[in-house]
Amino acid sequence: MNCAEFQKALPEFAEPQRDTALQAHLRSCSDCSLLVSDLDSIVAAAPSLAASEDPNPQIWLQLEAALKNEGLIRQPAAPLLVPPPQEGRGWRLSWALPVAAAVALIIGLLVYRPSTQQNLQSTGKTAVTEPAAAVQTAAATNAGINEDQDLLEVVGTQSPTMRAEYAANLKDVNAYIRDAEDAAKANPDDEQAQESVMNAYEQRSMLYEMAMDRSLP
Amino acid sequence: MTGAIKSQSGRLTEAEAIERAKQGDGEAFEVLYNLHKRRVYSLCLRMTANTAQAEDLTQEAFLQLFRKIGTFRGESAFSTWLHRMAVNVVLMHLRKKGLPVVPLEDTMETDEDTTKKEPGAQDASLAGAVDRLELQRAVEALPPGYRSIFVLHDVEGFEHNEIAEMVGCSIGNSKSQLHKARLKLRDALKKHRAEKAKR
Repeated sequence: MNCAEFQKALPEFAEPQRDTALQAHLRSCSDCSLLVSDLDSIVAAAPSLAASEDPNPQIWLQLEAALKNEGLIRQPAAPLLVPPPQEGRGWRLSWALPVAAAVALIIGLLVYRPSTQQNLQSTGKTAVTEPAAAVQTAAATNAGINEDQDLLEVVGTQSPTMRAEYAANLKDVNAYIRDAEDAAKANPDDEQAQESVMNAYEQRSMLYEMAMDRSLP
Repeated sequence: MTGAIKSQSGRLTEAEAIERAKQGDGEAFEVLYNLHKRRVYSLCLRMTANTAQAEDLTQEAFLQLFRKIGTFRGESAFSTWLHRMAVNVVLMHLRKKGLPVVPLEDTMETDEDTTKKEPGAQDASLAGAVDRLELQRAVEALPPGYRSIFVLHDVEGFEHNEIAEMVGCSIGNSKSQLHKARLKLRDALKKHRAEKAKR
């Protein structure tokens, strides 16, 4: 079997290494062996593209509105009104959550400016900027955890089911932020990676807005 | 995909959410949406390579599903049912836009063109693992027909007979087009790496 015959037969085999005739050619031909190895790498990486992206939280709001319009949602979702506040608590939550969401977004933007970091690094300021960025990131993470707890507390007072849903959503979106940040760190010149970080923070912010929309009377 | 677990978390199981959604319970719809949104949206995004279209199609797929949820009897997995529906929504969209859901056979390119080396060209290998981001970019750059076949088979795990039925081609065609799609991805990845190495 020569290379042309091998490559013609290749599409028919999910695992060419297991076919005796193909196997014999693979052993003797480094080009075809490289080809098969590369295709295997692509096939192995492909499943990582499944379920890897979070949709914009607005999609659910639009879908919910459409379901209500069509009468598919026949009973209103559990009334998510803010409970009678304990002294000083209601006013605090009513402004604290949107502010927290905005702060989270701003922190995200401030922490995530790789081009700036790169410029500073190139001018020899690495030793100063890296710990500063690490401190900023840690502070942002802690602030994010506290904000999430506050949000879940508010949602939980309305509906335990929705609290679990929001907890899962926050977990997803925080994981998305981490993934996006890792990808952007690995590819500092990649505009798409930077955009993913922005999108991730934006989604987190929208999640907060949705929770507030539900909670406000 | 298994349903949500109702236990310490207090979340509805998928089966409970389906039954409550059939009664028109808004929270149950939201639970089902949250369980499956990532997979459906990612499918739509990979197939269209367009965020706005993927968002519209995600909404449309769930809307179609929820309209028909009363007919779901649980003989098949809910996720399989939804997934199939999402694929059909995307394929319908591509057809409406006049985009090929299966690569055109009659292209200028042949198998030999795709695999042959340029004279003197190094036969560089991808050498190991392929990064998700670079693969994502290469998939986005594939022509729509190749992209559909690759996403359906290698990303989403459909078999050739299922793909042939969904897109309306022969099983042999599905196999050969998938192979060409992988070769195109290999070329694109190698090119990308070569450009990156030059920088």
